[in-house]
Amino acid sequence: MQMSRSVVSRGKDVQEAIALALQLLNTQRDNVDIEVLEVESKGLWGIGRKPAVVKVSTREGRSAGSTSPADSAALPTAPDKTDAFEELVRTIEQLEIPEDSLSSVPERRDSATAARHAEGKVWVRNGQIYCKDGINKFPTVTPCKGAVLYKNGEPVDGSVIVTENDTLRVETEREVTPTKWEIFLSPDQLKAILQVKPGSIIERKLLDQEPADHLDLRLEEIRIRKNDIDIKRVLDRAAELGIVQGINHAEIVRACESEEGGEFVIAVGREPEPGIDGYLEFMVDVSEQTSGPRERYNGTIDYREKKRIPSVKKGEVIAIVRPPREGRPGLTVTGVTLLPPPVRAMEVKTGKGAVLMEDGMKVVAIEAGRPHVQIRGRLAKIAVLEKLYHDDDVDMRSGNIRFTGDVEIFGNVEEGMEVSAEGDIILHKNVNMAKITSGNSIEILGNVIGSEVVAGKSNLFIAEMSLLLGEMAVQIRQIITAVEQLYRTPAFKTADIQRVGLSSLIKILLESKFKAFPGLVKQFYEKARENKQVLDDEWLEFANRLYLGFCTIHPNELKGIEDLERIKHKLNELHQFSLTPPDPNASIHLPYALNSQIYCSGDIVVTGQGCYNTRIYAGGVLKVKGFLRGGDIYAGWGAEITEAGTKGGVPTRIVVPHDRSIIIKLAMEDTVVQVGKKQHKFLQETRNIYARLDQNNELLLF
Amino acid sequence: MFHYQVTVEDTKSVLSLNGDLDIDAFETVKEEIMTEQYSTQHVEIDFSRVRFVDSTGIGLLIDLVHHLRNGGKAITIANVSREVQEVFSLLQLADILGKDVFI
Repeated sequence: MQMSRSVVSRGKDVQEAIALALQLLNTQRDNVDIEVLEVESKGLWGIGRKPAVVKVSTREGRSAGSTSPADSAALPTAPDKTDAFEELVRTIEQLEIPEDSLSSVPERRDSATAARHAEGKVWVRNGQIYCKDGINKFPTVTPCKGAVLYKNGEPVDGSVIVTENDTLRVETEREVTPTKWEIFLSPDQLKAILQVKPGSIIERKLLDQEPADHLDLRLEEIRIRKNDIDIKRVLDRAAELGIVQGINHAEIVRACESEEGGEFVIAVGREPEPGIDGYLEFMVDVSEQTSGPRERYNGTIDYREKKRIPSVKKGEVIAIVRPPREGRPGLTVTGVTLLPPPVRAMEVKTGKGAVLMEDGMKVVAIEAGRPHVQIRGRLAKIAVLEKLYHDDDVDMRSGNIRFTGDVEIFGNVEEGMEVSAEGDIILHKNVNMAKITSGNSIEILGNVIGSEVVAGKSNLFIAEMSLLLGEMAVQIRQIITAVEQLYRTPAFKTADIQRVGLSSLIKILLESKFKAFPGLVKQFYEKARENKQVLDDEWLEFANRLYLGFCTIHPNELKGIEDLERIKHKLNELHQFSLTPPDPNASIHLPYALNSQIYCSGDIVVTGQGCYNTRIYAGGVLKVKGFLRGGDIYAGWGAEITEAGTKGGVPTRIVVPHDRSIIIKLAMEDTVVQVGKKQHKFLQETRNIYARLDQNNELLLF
Repeated sequence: MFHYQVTVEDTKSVLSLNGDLDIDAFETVKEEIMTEQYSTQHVEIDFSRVRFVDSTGIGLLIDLVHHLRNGGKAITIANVSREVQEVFSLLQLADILGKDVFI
């Protein structure tokens, strides 16, 4: 009774692997079946070299076991062996050898002695089942899970009697879990990741057992982690995925050789490098000096302590227009170019007193005066403003004052008079029943009574236009879509449009689908005309063209779809512009106002006693150091008020947008605060109010 | 070339348009069709032989309908091909001329 044994061995080539296996089995090539499992591979660029793997099994009936001295220790059960080698072995065995020189000899003797007591028993040695017949007693064997026992070539189910004449063979199951791997790209396509989960091989071997009447076969499990990724397949897969950029071969090898597996970044793209937007480099100090009078340490206000007002001479370079610098494009691992965010140029428009020189690269003063710079998004406006000084009162004698630059008035502004300036206005005395309008900031040192004070008028107008521009932009897009749809309709001829333009089509569209559009255009046109003193020509021109195209429906205005596209573009541009607050924004500083109206596109600071029954609109922050008694107040960026409300007098209502807050140190009863759409009326005197909305849109008051 | 024909059927006059209602039909519509004397109160505009329209042509149609209505006529538009109807729908002509016009 012999059983087949097999060995899986590796070598740098097949020859070496077989030689190794034969050595392990202690047999010769003629006695074995050889199965080549894997041929060696040299790998790519010398990496990923793989050994040859062979499975060598001894043939049944020619047990290698009996040929080896060690196996013969497991009882000589094949006396018919005539192998020359065996004979040699026997000869050697018969030689007298000193005991210490051959350790296996005593062991063999022990085993042989044990074997003499083994009659009627069965045992396992070196992975093989042996048995010895007994008298009136047969040994039995029960196979186990994972091992199939063949008795004389037939598989055995359950326990079985074995005799010396049986050929017993056990086949054990070998479990191979292949290595799992996958290449995936990061969402931004800038990395390729090889995810490796190494496979395993579970080899099972019969466990040696001492002779017994009955044997339950037992197995020894050897689990070997095996990462058998073929580097070539990884590279093929990477190529299939189009990965071409920044491949890290060393990392691929590391992944393929890794025992633990994991994620390996096998290719890295290049991120785009953002460029730098164009900007203005100022050659003179242009910082705004309209921050108002300074407060002394003791809290009083020093009106004389003013900062130096910046000024330029004729011909002086105010600023250099620096062009944008393009970024560097990146590459994904698949070789797709990633464009850096577009860079934008600073567009410069010059107003009075300034011109662009050297192809628009330099802004130069042609008048002496105060450089006035306003930046809104990517658009900068630069002008040099002259200053008008008026030492007396503004009254019937002086007449109204209108000036394109800054104005400073040292007297009062009397009833019914008007002061308007494109630049800043500084008024040293009182304003009574008058109208003050500034394109920029206003600073009043006296009291304001029954007057209208407007600062940043064009900004106010532009902010006001925002809704209208947005709505027109939406509608013009829809008009374009409608026209494009018509163009695609087979029964619609476009020859007349080439001859006479779009006007007849627009006329029909404005009569049906877009009835509301001419109304919006008309509103825009009228408002632009009303505010033409404070607006750029650009706005008026555009308003005119819109009016001609959509209200008059002049055939020359809309020749084709390109004209509609141009209008759409301009509307979007102006709409964006209207949403961007200017920098610096206008401001108003005044100490006291009564029964007045104060509008400012930016901040309003009430520096003195406070306001009584005054309507206030601040596009920016409203700060009132004194009281605020009565009136409707709106502050676009929030309000800070020391004292608000009156005792049983005119109602005081303070409104800010939903994302802003109202701070009031002391609010009298009947003061109303409104944040977004939530409002609260205080029923009694309340201190330290901090009104704002929480995440759930609930109004918090403290 | 665009031309037209008026026939009287019982209580209605049928104005059959023939050809493309486009900018080239301008004079015919303005000078002939609009000045035509229709003996009945009901005028039906037959579109069965109009295969193409352009925006000028639709403008003319709108003018014509308004002109005849001002003259006290009841107008219907009949036999509009599917293709031309598509143009009418995109322009929401029914909103301009009234839904009852199309039969």
